[in-house]
Amino acid sequence: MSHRIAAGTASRGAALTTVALTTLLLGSAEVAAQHFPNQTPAGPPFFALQGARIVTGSGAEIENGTVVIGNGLIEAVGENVSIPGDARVFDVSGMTVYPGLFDALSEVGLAGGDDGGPGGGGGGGGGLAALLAAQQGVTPSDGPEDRPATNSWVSAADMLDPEAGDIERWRDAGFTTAFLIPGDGIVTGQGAVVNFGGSAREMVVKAPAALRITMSGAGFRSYPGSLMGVISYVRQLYLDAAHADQYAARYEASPRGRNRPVYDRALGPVQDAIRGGWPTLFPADEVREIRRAIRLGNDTGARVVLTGGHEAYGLADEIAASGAPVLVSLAWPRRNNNADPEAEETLASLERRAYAPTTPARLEEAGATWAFYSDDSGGPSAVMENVRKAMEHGLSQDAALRALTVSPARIYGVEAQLGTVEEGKIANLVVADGDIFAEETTVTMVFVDGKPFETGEARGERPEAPPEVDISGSWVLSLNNDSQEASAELEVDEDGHVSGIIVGERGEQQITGGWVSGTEFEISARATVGPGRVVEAVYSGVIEDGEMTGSVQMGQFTMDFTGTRPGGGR
Amino acid sequence: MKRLVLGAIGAVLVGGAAGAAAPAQAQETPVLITGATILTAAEPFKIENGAVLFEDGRIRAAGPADEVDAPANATVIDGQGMFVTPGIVDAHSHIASDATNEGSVSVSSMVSIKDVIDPTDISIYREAAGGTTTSHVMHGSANPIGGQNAVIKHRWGSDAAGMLMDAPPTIKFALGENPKRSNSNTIPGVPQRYPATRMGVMDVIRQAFTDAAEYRARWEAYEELVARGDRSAIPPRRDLRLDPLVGVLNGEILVHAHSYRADEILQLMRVAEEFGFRIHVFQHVLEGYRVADEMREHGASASTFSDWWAYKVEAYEAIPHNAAIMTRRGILVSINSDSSEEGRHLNQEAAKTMKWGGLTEEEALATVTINPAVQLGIDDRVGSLEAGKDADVVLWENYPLSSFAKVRTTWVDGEVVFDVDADMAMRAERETEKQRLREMLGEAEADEAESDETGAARLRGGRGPGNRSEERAGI
Repeated sequence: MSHRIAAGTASRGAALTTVALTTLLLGSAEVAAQHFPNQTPAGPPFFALQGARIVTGSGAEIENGTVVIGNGLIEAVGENVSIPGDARVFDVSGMTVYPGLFDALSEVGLAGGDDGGPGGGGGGGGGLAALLAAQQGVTPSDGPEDRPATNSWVSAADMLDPEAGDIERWRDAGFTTAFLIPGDGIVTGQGAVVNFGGSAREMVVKAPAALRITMSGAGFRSYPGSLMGVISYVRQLYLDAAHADQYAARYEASPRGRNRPVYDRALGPVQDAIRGGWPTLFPADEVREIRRAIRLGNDTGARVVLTGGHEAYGLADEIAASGAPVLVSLAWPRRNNNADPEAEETLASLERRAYAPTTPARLEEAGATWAFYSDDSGGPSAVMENVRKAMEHGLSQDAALRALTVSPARIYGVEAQLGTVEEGKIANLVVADGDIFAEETTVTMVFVDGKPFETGEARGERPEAPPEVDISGSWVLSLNNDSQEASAELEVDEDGHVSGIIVGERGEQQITGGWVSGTEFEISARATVGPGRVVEAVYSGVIEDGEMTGSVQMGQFTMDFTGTRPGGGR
Repeated sequence: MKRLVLGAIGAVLVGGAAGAAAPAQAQETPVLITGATILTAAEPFKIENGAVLFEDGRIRAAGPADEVDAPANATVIDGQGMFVTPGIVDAHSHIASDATNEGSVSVSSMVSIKDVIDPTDISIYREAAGGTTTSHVMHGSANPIGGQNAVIKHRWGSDAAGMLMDAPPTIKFALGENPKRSNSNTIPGVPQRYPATRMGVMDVIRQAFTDAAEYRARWEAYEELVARGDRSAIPPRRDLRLDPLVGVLNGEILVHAHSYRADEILQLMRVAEEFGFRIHVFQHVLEGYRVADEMREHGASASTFSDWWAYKVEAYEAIPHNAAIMTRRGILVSINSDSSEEGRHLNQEAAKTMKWGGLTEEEALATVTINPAVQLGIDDRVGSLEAGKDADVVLWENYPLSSFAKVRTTWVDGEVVFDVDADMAMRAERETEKQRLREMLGEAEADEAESDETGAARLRGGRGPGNRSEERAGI
């Protein structure tokens, strides 16, 4: 473990020093409370959710029950549990309480890439590039430079950015937990199980929780350049780690007359991973990738977690027999939108698109251990849409819920703390106004580590001012300098909430929420932009003289639009 | 019989497209091809009105039709007017792999094609349609010492492990322009890789084997300590780059060296002799005709092209008589494809040795059957039609050593991997299946109108099943 602490030195060390200094200078309990919240909780520690249907995930559902939360944990669950006098009670009758959803592989909340910036909060941020740059000055030249693609010493837990905007978006949809891991290199680093709430240090549930190995080569630039080079590189890495362990043991037994072992921060965590049986993620989407990963696991002793799994539908029994868990990507394969329109799609491609969503049901039947992960699927609502697709292909609701709760918890070894609504577990809970997988269901409240978070509109994001313009009725929307046209049918209730439908060139967009306040408006819609590909579209702007002007954001694209009444307005 | 074969092949091929089918099981019903002209690539070479009987993946008998008795339950194929040969063995191929070169380093002996076999490569099927049943899938020629190669059977529909043949291990070496990167652009910001000359190529090889010999000595010293009961001895670090080179030094791994010019062929044989090993096969070896005696003395054989030359400076001095001259000087010669296109008609490539240099029919067929089998150390299993060998059998509609040759059916281990009638029938089946999948995906209307037309166009264009170009995995 020592190398891990050493690994975090630059950023974490700096943060610790700041804390230590502040505490020393001020000597105040308040500072201590801020940094050690578990010892000195701020705010009411007790909550009770009363009158809900509780889907515990660990046995029968409770039709009308209560969950008591105390000090971040679930204190009691059941039909007749007593509520402590100082608990804040939420009447959630008519609602359903679920265990918090767990995304089995994500980068949400990980300060990485270009937009990472200097992250807030205890653990650092600034991304892998910044972390690497920060460490460059203090690193001896025979460090990981010997294996520049082995970033095993980089830890996701040191890269958290609790301010990352995406965290709120996913939490609003019921995701309370994710497994995060950096993505650069062949060994990309150590992953962490993280809760979506609190400061960087409060977020961490388990670190390190796993290693991740990619299969990306560097071409003719540097070794390994090819897929077979990467495979050989990984084999050599595991052999070296085992040899280093063996050498260290012999050296410790009798150091005299022997050269000391070489310090290697790239190798250390691999040694730990072998000794500790860490789960190790390998890319395994296609049939031959799956078999290669299982074989590489057998050869190296790595505890393989297959990642991707879109062609696992034909190999479910083989996978189950191998014992390797599967993380199934919720970004179902799509038709290539850039394909030559004259070219006919191959049978293999059709099979893959048709059968990939049957993978979850097949794995479930075969008794394999598996979980869902969001992947590049286009946001939380698209994730749910894609879970429904697996359910249309035979996946039961119970199994779908397990794949987003207790199964990832089991794969990462945190099932004692997470994944079900059970006494003594971390109070990660979702309150929804219906079946969590149903399209019309809204998540109304989320608890992370026993702290309540209101979602979406309930947070009061809608401005207070009453509407001054009427948005209801039909509109013709002209997007992006008249290059596209859409029509909208809008309804507004007395509170200014907007509902209805927008019909664009690519089909219907169901409005999921919106408001009008003064002359401003904002409308969120769920847009289907390709087979199985759903993104959230947010239309915002003003209405003046009976015309709309504004912009629509769809995923990473933004377009301007104007809206007029059909036939010239009323 | 036709029905039976059709059904079997349809299952194999449709499964093959998904890449998830189980390895083909050896067929239990015996098959007798009778009345055909058998070219055995063994003694006797040619049997008019002959018969071949195979069962459970093995050849039971090959001989005159009236001497081969078939069991009562045998499927009998009337081969009158047709020809039967052993499956073709391609001694140099680059199909069926997700990587070819580990070109980042000068010595890439640590990598193996066996790790990256792609069982869904359509070339496996298409070459089987040209009679090829075994291929030596080699590492590329980007480095003086390349990676380890794989020998595969064209068992279309099986997984990567099922393709691999249990053959003696081989390793790729390369000489001349490719390893010195003369025809490659430098990558901006990346220093040019050593070596840049033929001298450098030899230096890299010499240094690698010096390291390997030292490494072997370290292991021997350690093993001696252990043998003497020293329980605190620490084993040397396993080095995946040097392990295969020790295998070469010990004669356990066969060297296949890409080469063109006479001088570099002589150079490599001398360096190998310095370290006490042999170059097992010179690949390409376009100037082999100039140093055939020296190669014979060294113990090397040759695997060359029929008539490819002058595509780069080091290939200017090639002659189409190369294979015949080397054969006449007592060298075992094979003709290889080095190409997924040539790999579909190696029978024609072999036939060219009869025109260029006058090899006999028997010698010509041997260059793509028994000779490459010997070079790969698998002649006990494949390369000729003899009782006990694998049932890798090709039924030709006409004389195979000609431009008009056409394969009717190809068997690997007794299983049909290609049949011309089944192929045609399967195209319609695949169109139906595609339409079903489109319906399942809710996309049927959009494609319905064009499907008949494109299906017909595909048939006219002769595109085989499972075009996978867009699915080809990246590295």
